[in-house]
Amino acid sequence: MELKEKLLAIVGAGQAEDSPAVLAAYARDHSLVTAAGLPDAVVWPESAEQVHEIVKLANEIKMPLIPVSSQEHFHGSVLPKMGGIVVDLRRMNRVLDIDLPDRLARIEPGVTWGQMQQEMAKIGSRMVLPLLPLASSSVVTSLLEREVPTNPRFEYGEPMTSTEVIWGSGMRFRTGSASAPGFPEKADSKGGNPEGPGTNWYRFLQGAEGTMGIMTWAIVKFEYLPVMDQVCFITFDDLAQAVEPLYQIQRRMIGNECFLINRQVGALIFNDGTPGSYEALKRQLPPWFVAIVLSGPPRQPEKKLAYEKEALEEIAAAIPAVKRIDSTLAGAVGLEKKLPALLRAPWPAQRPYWKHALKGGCQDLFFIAKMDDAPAYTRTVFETAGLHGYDVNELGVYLQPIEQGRACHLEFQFYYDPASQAAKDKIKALYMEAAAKLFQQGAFFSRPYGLLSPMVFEKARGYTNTIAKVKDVLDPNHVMSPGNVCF
Amino acid sequence: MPKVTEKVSQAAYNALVNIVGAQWVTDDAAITESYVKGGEIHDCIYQRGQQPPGVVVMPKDTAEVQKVVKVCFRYHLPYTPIGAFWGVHCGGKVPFHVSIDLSRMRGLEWDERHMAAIVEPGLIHSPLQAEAQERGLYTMTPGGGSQAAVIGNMLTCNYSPLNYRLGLATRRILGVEWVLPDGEVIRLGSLSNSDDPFWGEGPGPDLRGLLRGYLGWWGKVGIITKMAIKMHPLFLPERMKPVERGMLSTLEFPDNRIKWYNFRMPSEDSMRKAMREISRSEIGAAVMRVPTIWRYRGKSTSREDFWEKWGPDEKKIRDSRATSSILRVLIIGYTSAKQLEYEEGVLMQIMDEVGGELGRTKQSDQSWIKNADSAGMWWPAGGYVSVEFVVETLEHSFARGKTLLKEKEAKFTPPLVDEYGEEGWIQMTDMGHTSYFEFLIQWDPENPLGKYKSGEYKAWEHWVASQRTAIDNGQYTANIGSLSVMGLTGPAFGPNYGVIYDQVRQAVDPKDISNPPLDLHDRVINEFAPKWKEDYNFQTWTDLMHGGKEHWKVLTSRGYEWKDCLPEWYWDRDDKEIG
Repeated sequence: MELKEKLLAIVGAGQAEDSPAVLAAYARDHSLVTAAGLPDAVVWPESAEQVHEIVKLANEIKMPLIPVSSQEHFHGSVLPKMGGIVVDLRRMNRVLDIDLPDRLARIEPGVTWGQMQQEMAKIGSRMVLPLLPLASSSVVTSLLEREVPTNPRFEYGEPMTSTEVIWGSGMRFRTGSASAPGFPEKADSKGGNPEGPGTNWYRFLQGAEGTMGIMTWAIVKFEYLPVMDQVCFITFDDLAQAVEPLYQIQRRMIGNECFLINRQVGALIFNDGTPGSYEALKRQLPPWFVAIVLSGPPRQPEKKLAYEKEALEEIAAAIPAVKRIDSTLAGAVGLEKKLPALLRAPWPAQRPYWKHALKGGCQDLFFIAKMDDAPAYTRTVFETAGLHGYDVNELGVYLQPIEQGRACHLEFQFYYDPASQAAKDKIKALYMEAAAKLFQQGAFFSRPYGLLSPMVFEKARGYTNTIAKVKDVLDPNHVMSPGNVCF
Repeated sequence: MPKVTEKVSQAAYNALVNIVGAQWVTDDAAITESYVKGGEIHDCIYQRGQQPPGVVVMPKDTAEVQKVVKVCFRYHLPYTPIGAFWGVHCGGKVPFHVSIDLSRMRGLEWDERHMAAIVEPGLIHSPLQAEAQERGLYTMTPGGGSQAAVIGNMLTCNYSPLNYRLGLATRRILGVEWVLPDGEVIRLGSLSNSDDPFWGEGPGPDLRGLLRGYLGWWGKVGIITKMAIKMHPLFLPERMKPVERGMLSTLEFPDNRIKWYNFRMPSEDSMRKAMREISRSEIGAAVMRVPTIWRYRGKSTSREDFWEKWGPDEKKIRDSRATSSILRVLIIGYTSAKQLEYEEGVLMQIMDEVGGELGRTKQSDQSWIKNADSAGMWWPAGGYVSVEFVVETLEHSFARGKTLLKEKEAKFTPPLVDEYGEEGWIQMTDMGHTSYFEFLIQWDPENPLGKYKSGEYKAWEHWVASQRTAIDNGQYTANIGSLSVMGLTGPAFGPNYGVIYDQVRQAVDPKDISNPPLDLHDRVINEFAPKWKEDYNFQTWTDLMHGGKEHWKVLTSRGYEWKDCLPEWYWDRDDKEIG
C-alpha cells in the first residue's frame, strides 16, 4: 500500500494528500530557513486515536513526522528537513472542557488564539497573550514554545498544566495530575498540576519544536477579565532611560500588562490601517515608551487603581528620567481607551499581520536578557544593522519585562520584502552576524530556532548530550521532526 | 546475617583520599553509622532498608564532587548525596555505598538586582533567608523548615502557604550546575552559554524537567552542585522584631504591610466559597484551611505539652466534630501599605457575604520565615508522617481529604491518633488555580496511654493504602516515583509512567549507582509485609518488569540479590511479617 493509502486508512477519505501542489504549502513559511524539499504526505487527523495510529505507522516505516498546529509559521520549525509526513492538527480544534472555578481550559492543539478569545469572552475571562499574535496561531504551540506574555502579573505559575501526548515511541501518555487513572471522565483530578508523574515530562515538550511527540490536548490557565482599566504611558528619548523605571515598577508589582517599545513597533501596532496612519505615527510617536495597564478586579476596582497609580507617581518622582506619567500617548489619539482590549486579543484577522504590514516579511531576533544589558545589546544590533545597510529607523524593538523585572524578553524586528531574494539574503546575513555578536555578549537564546540552533547547542554540549538521552527514550526511532533543535 | 559485607576497595578509598584529602574521607564506623538516616523524626516508614555507608566523603567544590563521582562510576560504587540530611529517608540503601556529604559546600552568592541567589548543596534556608532580607529580598521557607537544605528542598518539595502568590518550586529553579552519575558536568539555562545563571529554561527542551516531577528523584539522577533560585522583592521598610524564644520564637509583623486573619467558617460550603472568591478577587498572599489539631501541635513545646493541651479538649472536639473550619488568610502590601488596606477591605466584604467570623490572630511570622509546618511543629508529635501532600485543584483537595479520612478512621484509628473528622490541610496555590492538600497522621510510641504506640506499622500501611485509593478514585498523589510503591503507581499513572521513568533514569545513570534502588519500597514490602501485595492488589516492580529477577546493576554486577544486603537487625527481628 502506498503511504497515502495507509494514511487514508487511518483518517478517512479526503484527509490525507500527497499531491505536490498541496505539499508545497508545507514547504515554506515566514522564516529565513529553507526547506530541503517537499514532505512525502500531509494528513489531517481529527482525534488522538488517529494521531496515535499515525505515530505507530511512522515507527513501522521509519518515516519522519512533522506536527503542525498553527496555520502560519515563523521559525522554520515545521518545514520538512528530511521529508516525512506533515501531521496537520487544524481539525483538532475543540475546546474540550472549561473549568471556570479553577480557571482551566482543556483544549486541542488546533485551537487558535482567535477561537480561544471568543470562548473566553463568553465567560468574562481572558487568556494572557503574547504581544498581538496571529489569530490563526495555535494556543498550545504558543505556550509550548514559551512565548512571553505581555502581562508579568501572572507568572507565578506555569500557564499550561496537564497534557496528553503521543510520544515519538507511540506511547499514549498523560502528563501532570491528569495522569490519574480514569481522567477525565472518572477521576477526581482535574489536571491542574503540571508536574509528574515521576518526572516533569511537560518540560521536555517545551521548546522542543515537535521533536519529542505530538500533543493531543493541553490544559491551559485563563484569568478573569478586569472590570476597570487605566492605561499609563511613560516616554523616553533613549532606551537606557527606561530601564530603571521598569525595574522599579515591576519590583513593586504595579499594573498588569507592561512593556517597552520603540516608535517603529508602536507605529505598526497602533495605526488604524487607514492610508497615512502608519506614517503619521512614525512622525509623532515618542522614540521609546512604556505602556502600563492598571487593572481592577471585580471588587472595589477603583481602590486598586488608586493605590497602583499612587505608587507609580512615587516612582516617577524619584527618577529624573521619568518626566511624568501620561494618561495619553502623543500622536496616538484614543489609544489609552483601546489598548487593554488590543492587548487581550490576537491581531485582527482581517488586517495584514502587523509585523508583515511594512514590507511583507519580518525576521525577529529575540532572546532572554537582563534589562540592565538591554542598551548594550541594542547598540550591537543597531550598529550591525547599519553596517549591513539596513535603515535603523525601520528597526523594531520590543522589551518585555518578565518575572518582576528579573529578566526581559528583548526582541528586534527586521522588516524585508520576502519576494526579493536579495532582500532575504541581506537580512539573513545581518541576522546571523547580530545573533553571533549578541551570543558572545551573553544573550541567552532559550529558543534557538532554525539558523541559530547550531551555534547555541554546540556551546551547550553537555546539555545537548543529556537531552538526547531523554529523546532516545521518548522517541527511540527519531521519527519526530528530525532536523529541529539539536536532533 | 547479611551476606554483603564488602567495603569500598582500598584502591577506591585511596582515590577518594587523593581527591579530597585524608581529613575529608573516612570509613570509621563511629562516623559512618551516623549516616544511616536523617533527622526529620525518630521513626518513619521511609527509613526501612537504609544502611550505613562504607565510606563518607566530603568534597569541597564541584571539581571534587565530579572526581568523587567518577571514582564511584569507575569502581561501580553506589553513592548517596547528602545535603543537610533533613529527610529521614535520605540515607543510602545498600551497605557498601559511599555517602557524599555536601555540607562543606555552603556557598551563597547574590545577584540582588536580578533577584537571584546562587547556592551550593550544603546551604540551608536559614542563612539564605537572613541574607536575602539584608539585601531587600526574601524567599519562601518551606514546610521542612529553615534547617532544610535549599537545593535538596527545591528538588523535592518546597511547599508553603506562600505558594499561593509565589508559585511552586519548579518555577523558581533558575540556572543549574549538575554532576551526572557518570561524572559529566552539565549546565542548564543561561549557564549553558555563560557564567550567569539568571535564567533556567532551555536552550530548547527544558532539562529542568529531569530534576523533579512533582517530587524529585531523591538523588537518583546525580548531584546538583550549584543552583540559582528566584528570590522576591521585600516589601517591608524595616526589619521585623524577634519575639519569644526556643520553638515558639517568631518575628513580629508590622501592622501596615503584612497581616494574618483567622476566620471560623460556618460550613464547608462557605469555606469553599470564600477561597474561590478570594482568588477571583486577586487578593491575598496565602489562603488556607487549618486543621484544628495542627494548631495544638503548633503551639506545643514538647510531646508532653501536646498531650497536656490536646487531652482536656479531645472530648469537646470529638463531640462537636467541629474540625476543618478555620480559614486563615495572609495579606501583604507588596506595593504599599494602601494595598493592604484595599485587600483587607475586599476580604472583609467577602467574609460578610459567606459568614466568616473573624477570630483572634497573632500577628507574627508562622508561614514565611519560620514555617508553621516545620520540624518545630512536628517534633512534639512523637511520630508522624504525611501520607499525602499533593497539588491539584480545590475540589480535588476536598475529595482527597474525605477519601483518606474514611480509610484512616475505618482501618487505622487507633493506633493512629483520632482527629475526629479532620480532613486535612488545604492551601490555595497559583492564585487559586490549584490547591495543595496535606494529610498528616500521628502516633506516639511513648504515649502513656499506650493506644497510639504501634502506629508506625499502621502508618506505613496507611501510606500504601493511600496509593491504592488514589488509583481507585482517579486522584493525584505525591506518593509517586521513587517515593512510592513502583509496582502500584508505575502502571496506573500516565498510564505506565513507571516504564519511561525507569528508562530515563537508566539512560542518565547506566550503572545504577546514584542513590539506588528506584523501587526500594517494593523491595521492603516484599520482605516485611508481603501480604499487602494481595491486600492492595499489586506486584513488585521486580516481578512486574523483570520477571522476578534481580535487575539492580549494583547487585547483579557482584552476583548478589537484594536480600543479601539486608541489615543485621532484619535477621534477628521478631516481626518478620507485619502485614
